[in-house]
Amino acid sequence: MTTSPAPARELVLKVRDLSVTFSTSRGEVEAVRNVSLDVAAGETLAIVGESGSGKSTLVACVNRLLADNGRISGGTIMLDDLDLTAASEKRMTAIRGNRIGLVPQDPMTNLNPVMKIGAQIVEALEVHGLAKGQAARTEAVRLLGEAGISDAEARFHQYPHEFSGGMRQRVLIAMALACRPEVLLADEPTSALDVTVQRLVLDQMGQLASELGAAVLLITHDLALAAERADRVAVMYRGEIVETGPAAELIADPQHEYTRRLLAAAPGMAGAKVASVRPAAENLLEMTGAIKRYRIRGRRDPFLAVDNVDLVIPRGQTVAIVGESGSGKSTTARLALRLEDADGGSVRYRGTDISTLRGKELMAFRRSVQPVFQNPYGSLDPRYTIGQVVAEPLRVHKIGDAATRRKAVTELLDQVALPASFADRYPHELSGGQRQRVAIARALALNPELVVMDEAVSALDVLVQEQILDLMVSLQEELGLSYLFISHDLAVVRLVAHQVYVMNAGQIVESGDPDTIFRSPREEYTKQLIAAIPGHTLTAA
Amino acid sequence: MMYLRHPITRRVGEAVLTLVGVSVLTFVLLRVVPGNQITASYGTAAGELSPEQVRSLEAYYGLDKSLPVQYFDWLRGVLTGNLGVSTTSHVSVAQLTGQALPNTIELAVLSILVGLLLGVPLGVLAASRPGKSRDNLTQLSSLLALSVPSFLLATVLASWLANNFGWYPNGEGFRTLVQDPGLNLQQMILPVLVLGISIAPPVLQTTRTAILAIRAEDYVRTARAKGVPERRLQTRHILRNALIPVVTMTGLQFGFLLGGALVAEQIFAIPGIGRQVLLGLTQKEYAVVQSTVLIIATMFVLVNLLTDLVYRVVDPKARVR
Repeated sequence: MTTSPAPARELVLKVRDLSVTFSTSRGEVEAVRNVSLDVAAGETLAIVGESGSGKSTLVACVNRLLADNGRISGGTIMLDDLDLTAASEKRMTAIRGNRIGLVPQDPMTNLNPVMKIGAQIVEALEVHGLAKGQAARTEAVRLLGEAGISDAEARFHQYPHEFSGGMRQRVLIAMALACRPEVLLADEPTSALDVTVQRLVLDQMGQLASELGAAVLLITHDLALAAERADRVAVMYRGEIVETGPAAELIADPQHEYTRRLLAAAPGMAGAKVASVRPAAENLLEMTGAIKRYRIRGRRDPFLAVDNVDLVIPRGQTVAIVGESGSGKSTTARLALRLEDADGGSVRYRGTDISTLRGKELMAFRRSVQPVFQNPYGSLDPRYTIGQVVAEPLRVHKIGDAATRRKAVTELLDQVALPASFADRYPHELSGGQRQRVAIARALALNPELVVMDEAVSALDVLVQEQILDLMVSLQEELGLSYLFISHDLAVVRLVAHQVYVMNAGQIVESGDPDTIFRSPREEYTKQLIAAIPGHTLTAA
Repeated sequence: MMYLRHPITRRVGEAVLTLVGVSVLTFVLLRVVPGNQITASYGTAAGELSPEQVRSLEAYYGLDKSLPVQYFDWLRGVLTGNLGVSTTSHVSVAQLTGQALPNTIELAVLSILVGLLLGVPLGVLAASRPGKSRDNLTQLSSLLALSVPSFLLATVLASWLANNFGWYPNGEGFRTLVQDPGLNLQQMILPVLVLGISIAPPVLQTTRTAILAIRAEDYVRTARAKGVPERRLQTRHILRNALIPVVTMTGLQFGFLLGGALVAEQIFAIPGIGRQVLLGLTQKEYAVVQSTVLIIATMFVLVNLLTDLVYRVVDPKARVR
């Protein structure tokens, strides 16, 4: 399928019938099939798809930096008149960074930790012979400033670990654009950043790229973000481009079934799925004036992670805390779980101050309050079978014998819609969404009343995320569960929460029911959060 | 109480605790082993000593006091700068150490250099094409070097060179670097080679593993995408990062060597700190063994601190910690 050519502008990048094959232990796997697309100078083409759809492989092909077991098995990639699939490695080294810039996904891992920031940008200029010595340094400082790094002169001599995630991504953008490339590949450039930072970084990148007149290939899993940032959007599914068109048209009138599903699942656009509230619910957990301080080495004053937080979780309801990284929302969750004790105020569970719980009472509390964590890859022991993972809480709390536990595992897996046969599998055989279901099954093993979900759906693709949210809501209807739902994503929170608390710098800045907060936010910070939701401008329009 | 949490206070505190632990352990071990200075110096004749003679000898050596008193007497001495005296040679432990320690340090530094010069380049070579013949060959020889006991290698090398080429510089009596630099270096060649060969394999493995891990890092791919040529990528981006674990590894090895490379010192007749401990042990010279072991432990702790400093040079992140 060929994209409709962009009008009247010079086509810089032309991909024709591109296919990529990976040789794996299970034989040859075709990751990209017959993909054709064009990007014109000054144009942004977004490629949208879920993980495993082949979108990152496509980017790797343009740079000819495929993993060792992958090869381009057919098709051409033309950069102006040059076929990149046939270029020599030496030729490619001269092109990479010079004519094709790359902004990678995770700013935390993409800068060399032992090299100064400035040196890494100077290197890009030097290896392509564009500038040397003092001239290169001056240019690098200018580039850093342009990318939005204030006090670039001083920060030039710092190391990556002295920069925040957003700042590092700006450095990577400066690096990618250092040689004024004709093509800019942006592979999920902001998915690791907070929403408000994401917006600023994307603004900056878009502005710089358009000043250069570069052709931008923007890879993202977020359809709303793509629609907001790109001129045209191509939807990729299982290695193929299933639909492509101007951004606004594609959103307004999706043709392909998969595009429609993506749109329906996008949190910014989907309708709320909140469970019905049970009348006259008692309060399960009450936090009053909770304070948590951490001492920081080299500083006299302790850091106030949680500052005078009041929070109420009624039985059978979902209470959400929204905020950016460092806002104190995870620490609040840890206080609710009593993984840490508060330094001030109180946390009461069913009327009892949980800091006073000891021995059996504490075990009973632990049984009725269960966590589900963010990373479905890190939170399951790789050497346990799924059955062992789910049964572990039962074993720890000495509930039942081997036979009844096995039966319980089957029931629990059924509750989270996984087949009983999964009990004998290992975590690495499962997808991210399946693993998160297992984590929920484990949390449910002890019949808890409150489940604390700390960014439990953030690492998942939209379609999978939607399924997990549906599961949460149906379990709530069925079992009368309460949730403390921690998320950085206001759009997701709106879908499932009965009450929303907005947190910033350790404090609750605003709270209320989600619709009110969305429609008429009082605080400036809340307004910023809402404005930063990708696709917000589209739905508002 | 804030200062107790400070990293430097903690490190120093840990070091002191370690040294106290080592000294107590040495003290106890020496006394658990049967025999004492009297049986060691009189041999079988010790059995013919009359009880009065034994008592006066015990009083002479200080063995009649209770164990805690013996320990604290010795500790008080150490803290006031008196490490004790060797009763057989009537030389103070400080003097003995002053002679032995430079030799051991020279041996350790040269051996580490040889170990690094062998291990790092071979590690780079092995990592350049993992799983291919070059890698397998280096891995095999590293395994071989690791499994051949150093006393065997030392003996074989020394006797082969002596018998076939008549070259055995260590036979002429040891000369220090100050006394006769030329002969000293000749005398050091064999022991340094033997020790270097035993240090190289772990250095090689660490280098190889680190390079392979770093090559898969995101920032290496990003550097490639920036157009960094392969050679520069290998040195500036990959090797530079891979050296961080190698530093840790080397520091540990260096610490062990300072404890005296006993086998090498014994076979090549180098009067180092290891031999000093051995001599003290055979003579049951409690003060010599206790003080020397304490010195060795102190060196070990110092080397660890030194490693931390080097760490700060190679790993910028360590500077803020």
